[in-house]
Amino acid sequence: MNKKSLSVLSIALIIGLIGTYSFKKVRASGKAIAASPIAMQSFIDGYEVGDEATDFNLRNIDGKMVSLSNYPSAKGFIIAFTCNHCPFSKAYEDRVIALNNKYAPQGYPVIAINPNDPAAYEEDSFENMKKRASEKGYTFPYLVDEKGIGQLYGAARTPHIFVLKKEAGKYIVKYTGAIDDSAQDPASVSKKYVQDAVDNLILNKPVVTQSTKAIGCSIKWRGDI
Amino acid sequence: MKSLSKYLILCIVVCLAEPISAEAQTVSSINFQELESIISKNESEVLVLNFWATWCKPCVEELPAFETISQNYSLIDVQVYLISMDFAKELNRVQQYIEKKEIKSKVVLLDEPDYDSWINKVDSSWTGAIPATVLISKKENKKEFYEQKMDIKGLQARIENLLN
Repeated sequence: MNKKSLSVLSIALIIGLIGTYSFKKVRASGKAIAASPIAMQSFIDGYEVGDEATDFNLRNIDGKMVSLSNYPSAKGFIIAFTCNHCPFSKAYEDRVIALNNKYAPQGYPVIAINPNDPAAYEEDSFENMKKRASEKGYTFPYLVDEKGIGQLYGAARTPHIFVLKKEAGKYIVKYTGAIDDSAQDPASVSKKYVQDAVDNLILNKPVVTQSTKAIGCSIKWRGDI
Repeated sequence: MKSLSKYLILCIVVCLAEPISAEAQTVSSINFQELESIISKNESEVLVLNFWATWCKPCVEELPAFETISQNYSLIDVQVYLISMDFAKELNRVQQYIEKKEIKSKVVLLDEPDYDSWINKVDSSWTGAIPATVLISKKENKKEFYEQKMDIKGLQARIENLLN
């Protein structure tokens, strides 16, 4: 490929990206107005199953930047929007670690992203993220969302999982929602949503339960993006 | 002996004072079926259901608005239910919280851990994030849903709109 066509291609790509982003924003605000007579409804119109998810470049707790493209051999990802302060996130910490231990070797590593504004929740500050990750022995990246990736994905609460599968170089959303059906008590879990989804993806089977809802902590988006 | 009588007097005073502080309601744990029956048996013109938790910052910040509504309207017009999403094992913490804050609105803890099984039944647009508020008007059979922190002005305006 020559230099000229490369630059044309990259310009097209940038225009495409901007287009997608602003389109999403318009859709989101349109829906909010229709759904509520009070302005500023926090409803976010993000990715649905089948949508292509964007890659990102976010700062990890070790100071290094992390992108999905850093994982060329990954078959997909378990993206976990989570944080320190939320009791539901805390209740799931060990289960997120277990997911990474089980599925990273099978090509589906966990990437945890904290979308909360540390100005609203001191417990979610960069220093406290580092502290919590070392206390719990996180074996996966724990990224700071300084670029509004959570809004783009449509993370509605913490924790909120997106399972992605790499298909022809694209990251396709295959599951979105809760980790399982029992936040409060791991011993009472009967439906392991994320595990079932990833197991099926590994076997090249369709995901049966593609999206679920759960009670969670609303996200306080950063004011600096 | 003197100190014993002093102690006795103190005891009597404390015991007499007890019924006053015991006005605080007892928070009970309910399941989703019981919540549905609260909705179906509602007699007030507007039923307000606020989903909250003691640990949820925006939730506790908006509680005074719901308390104001409870105090300003008669039960004929408005009934407020504060539905705690604290974990079932934290029932005691919820009880302590409402006693400390002297919460007068009716408080229940919804113990229905399989969230995906009922969130859509409350409202299909609810993502599950709290705070979330449902206003149900008996007369017009209308329902409004807000996944956001409410302020007293907005809340009152919505209720007035449903009452008139």
